[in-house]
Amino acid sequence: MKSLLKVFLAVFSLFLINSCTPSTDKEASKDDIQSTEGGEITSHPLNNVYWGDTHLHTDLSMDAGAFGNRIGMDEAYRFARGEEVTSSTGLKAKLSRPLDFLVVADHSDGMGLFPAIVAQEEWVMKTPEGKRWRKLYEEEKNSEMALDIIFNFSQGNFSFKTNDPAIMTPVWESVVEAAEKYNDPGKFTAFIGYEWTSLIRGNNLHRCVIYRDNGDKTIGHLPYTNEDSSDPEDLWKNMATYEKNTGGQVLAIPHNGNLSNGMMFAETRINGEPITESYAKERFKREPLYEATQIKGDGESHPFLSPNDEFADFENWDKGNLDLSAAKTNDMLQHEYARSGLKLGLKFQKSLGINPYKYGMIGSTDSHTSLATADNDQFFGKASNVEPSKDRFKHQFVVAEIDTIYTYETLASGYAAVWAKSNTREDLFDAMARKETYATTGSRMKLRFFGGWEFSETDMDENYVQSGYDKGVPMGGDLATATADAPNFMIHVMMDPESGSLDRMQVVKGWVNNDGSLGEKVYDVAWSGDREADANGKVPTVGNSVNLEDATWSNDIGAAELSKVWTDPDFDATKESFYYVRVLEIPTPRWTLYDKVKYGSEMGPEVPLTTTERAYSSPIWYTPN
Amino acid sequence: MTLVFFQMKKIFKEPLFHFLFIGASLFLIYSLGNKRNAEDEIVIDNYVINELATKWQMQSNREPTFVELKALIDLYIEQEVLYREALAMNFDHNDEIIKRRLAKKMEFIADDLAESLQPTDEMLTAYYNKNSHSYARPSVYTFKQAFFNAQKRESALEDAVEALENELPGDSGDPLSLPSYYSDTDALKISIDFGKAFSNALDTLPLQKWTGPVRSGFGVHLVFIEAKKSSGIYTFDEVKEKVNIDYNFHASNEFRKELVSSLLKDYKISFELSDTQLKQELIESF
Repeated sequence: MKSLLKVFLAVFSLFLINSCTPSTDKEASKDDIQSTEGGEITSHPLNNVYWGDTHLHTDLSMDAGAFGNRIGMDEAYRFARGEEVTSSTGLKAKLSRPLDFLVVADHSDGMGLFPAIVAQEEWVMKTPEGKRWRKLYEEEKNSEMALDIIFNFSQGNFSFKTNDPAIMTPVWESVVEAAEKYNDPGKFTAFIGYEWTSLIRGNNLHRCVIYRDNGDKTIGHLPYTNEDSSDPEDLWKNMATYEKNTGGQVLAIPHNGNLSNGMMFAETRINGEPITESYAKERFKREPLYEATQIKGDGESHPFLSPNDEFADFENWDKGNLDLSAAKTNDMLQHEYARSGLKLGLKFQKSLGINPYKYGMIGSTDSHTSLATADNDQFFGKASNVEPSKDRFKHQFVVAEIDTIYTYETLASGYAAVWAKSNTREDLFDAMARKETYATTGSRMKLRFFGGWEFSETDMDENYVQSGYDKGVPMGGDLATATADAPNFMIHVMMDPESGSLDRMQVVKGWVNNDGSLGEKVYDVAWSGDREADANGKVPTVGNSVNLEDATWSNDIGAAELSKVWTDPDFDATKESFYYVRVLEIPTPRWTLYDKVKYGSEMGPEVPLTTTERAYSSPIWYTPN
Repeated sequence: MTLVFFQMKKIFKEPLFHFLFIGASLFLIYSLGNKRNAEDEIVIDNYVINELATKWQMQSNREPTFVELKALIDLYIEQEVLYREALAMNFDHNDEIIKRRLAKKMEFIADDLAESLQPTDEMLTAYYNKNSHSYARPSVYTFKQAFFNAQKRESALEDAVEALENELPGDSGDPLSLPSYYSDTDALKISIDFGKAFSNALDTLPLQKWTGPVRSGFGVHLVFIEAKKSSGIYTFDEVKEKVNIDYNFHASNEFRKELVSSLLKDYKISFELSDTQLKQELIESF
């Protein structure tokens, strides 16, 4: 014991001396550049686009830890800020361009459970599942343990409580402290948040909860858990209590309706009763955004729901619910996808006078590796057991009686784009609350979208953004009272210079007919090259320049930017409607192709090797007087 | 040597050092104290009672009654006696879980020590000087660019090369809704607008003349760099907060590594393997 203490002290003193020794490196050179560090926060009156991930897990999430994630919030924030970090499997990881903001959204249930299993804490070890996990952990069967945790949690089978304040409090305090440490107003925003992991019989009703406020308000309000309740209405009550007690603000972002087996945009409440006006009001108020794309499937549209949309079939996950304990049926789909949810919302707008599903769009990763990346050439997978390696593509992600989901089906997606005045918690949150956001599948294309009644071709000049705000509303807004026969929209998109060029820009319109039935149509409004639309208005495909041997491509077939002032040719002033923009890039290499080229992985024809990155804007709504 | 001595003296004056020294002494006394307890005596003292009662209270939101407390003490005694007998029978040896748990405990102590270290300004300055490359400013450029759109031309590349021969190459480009003139703009902003390949390329180009073609994701550009300000480094005061965060992040990692390697000095690693090739490779790798 004595010798150990000596070592401790010796190392410690040595360490201090080392840190104090002046460096022999040459003196920092001074120059005349105006400082931007520590200076004032830059404000953009016409808003700037900020990129981030609202949905990242670290080793604090029980499943992430069980899957082998050994890096925490420090690494998560450093990586998002653009620094190089070492992943859980020892790989160097660095984003090509930093993100502007990050929400570390660890599961509130069992927050800190995994460290408790590692530490063999009594409260978890005395439970039957604790014993089982201990055995699996001892045998180094981490993935098996993780799946066991997820499956039993999904089915509500835990024999112990996952919301014990004694366990949660210190973990939550560390979450808040880490966000406070890395939040750097004007340069990088670290939001305080968590994920509420609601599951009903394996059906995914998860929400990421994000605070506008700093640590002083949030530290005393423990995250709400699935143990407390699986009913979103109870989460909203908890959010209301937080706002009332602290004067703060909080919002929730649902995700993965595709794994909810028809529950995400249901026509009834959890208790089975029809949606009421007060339910609709609360949902509208608490959930201004939907996470439309992420690693576990793209959720904008589905080919069954949109048979006339030839691009609806994109990286869909439609085998079943989260743990594949129940298979998917076609009747569930309309309650699962972003577009159909928006349409259902119009129906309630018509019948109740309030729209519960009036949400904007964002994308995020839901990565469980502490690495917020949706880049195909830098994809670290869903969890640490599928970080880059030769054979990760064929790893079985979910295995159940009814089906299997393979890792090659996971997608490197997505990011949240937010139009805000400055990069601060307050400005970004306010922009999210007013839905001035869009989703991308990982590309950073720059998309502006304004709706109004008085736009003309001549508005699309170098001052179009000013005109957009002056004469109309931006994405996420409501069209003002009609002053013309049909609304028009000013749309501009600039490609991401590090991704594919642009194939086409589309307007997706949804509406409710007078008999209550729902309609949708996708309009091609601008595209690259000299392709011509056919009789149905459909523009032929753009082609494919991806070289499958070396994972490169040429941007020459697509456009660097597209713009259009578009007037709805089918406008009917009596119908509730929405309009949103979908942008498609030309095909580029998918993460699977980068793996194939780098590691020589032998992939079968079932593995897609190219992708077409997309952007989905928040809608602009029209409501008849 | 004088310098080291001087700094040692300074360390001894640090309140932090005192704190650590006292903490370490307590640690020592506590561990000796535990030994002094006879092996066949289980003491229920204030500390034990408080521990049991607090844990109970956290779970049930009230204090335990006497009967409940008695039950907790019974459990405690049971665990304690089994624990001690298990130790006496060396059940702790070669138990993977116990190994991990104890190794973790050592890590926690190391982390706590590292975290309790609040670096002084001198320490931060030294760290900053040593890692100044992490605090480099991006270069700042003033430049014009002309874009040649592949969608509008047979060969954007050839057209760009040809345009270099013109009197005003900048006028030969196609519209792009990015500025054609950037004044005092840092490389980070340029790579956000044009991509990293473009901003890296600027670094290699001559000043005060139209040059290129330079590729970006958009296509082909010609550029005229009016001025380039070498990057330099942010001053310590400008990045002090970031230095502090970086320092602490690296300090805990380093401290743990140093601790393990100091401890290892008293150990010899030997390989007793039947696979001689593997054995040789392993020996060489250490």
